[in-house]
Amino acid sequence: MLIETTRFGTLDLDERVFITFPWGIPGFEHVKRYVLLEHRQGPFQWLQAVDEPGLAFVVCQPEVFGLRYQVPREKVRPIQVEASEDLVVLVMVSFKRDQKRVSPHLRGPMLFNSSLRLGYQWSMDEGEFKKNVRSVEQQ
Amino acid sequence: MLVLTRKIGESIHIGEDIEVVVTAIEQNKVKLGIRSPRQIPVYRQELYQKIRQGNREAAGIEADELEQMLEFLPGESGAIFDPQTDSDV
Repeated sequence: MLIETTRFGTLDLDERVFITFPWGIPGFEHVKRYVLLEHRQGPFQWLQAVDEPGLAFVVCQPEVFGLRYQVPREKVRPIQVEASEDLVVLVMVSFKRDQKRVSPHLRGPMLFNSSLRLGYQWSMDEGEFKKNVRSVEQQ
Repeated sequence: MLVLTRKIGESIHIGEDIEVVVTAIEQNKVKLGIRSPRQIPVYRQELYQKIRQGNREAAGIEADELEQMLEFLPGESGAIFDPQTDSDV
């Protein structure tokens, strides 16, 4: 299927690679289909909206920032994760142009079921963050 | 807005399959239990707003900015990242 994007032009993608966000992403609730695009050798990827050419987020693995998430079972129910190897966690990243600073959105990790290709964003409160996020070195 | 009075242990039904139960009341706090067979994500309103605002900011990155961002990643040695000071969301 041909998809239009403002950043990458027209892309011809197999619909099987699409990821469905049944509830959208907060702030963009109406956009349900995305695709992950590699940015060169990484570590960043683009989460590009299929039906909204100008909408794309930069995401990466939390390990890039030295962190790992332990996701409780009830948090993956919305995306029907049964086996832990199906769960993929990515963090959204923003860029502070004035400060030249890369800022990961650690309290709102994106959770994916890689076999059903479903996604949603978990919004963590302070307690959940302390309990479920560890630095890679601590493990 | 619809306003209903409920006691501890009582609940309300929203649509066919969402039930909200009042499980405890203490001073100015109410504990709610939410039953939903479809496992719809449930967010606390203020957290939802914060995530939403963060997402809107993140959505504005242009392709050439990502190149710049690669230069500002935490280094190999200093990979420890302080979430308290380095993350806004």
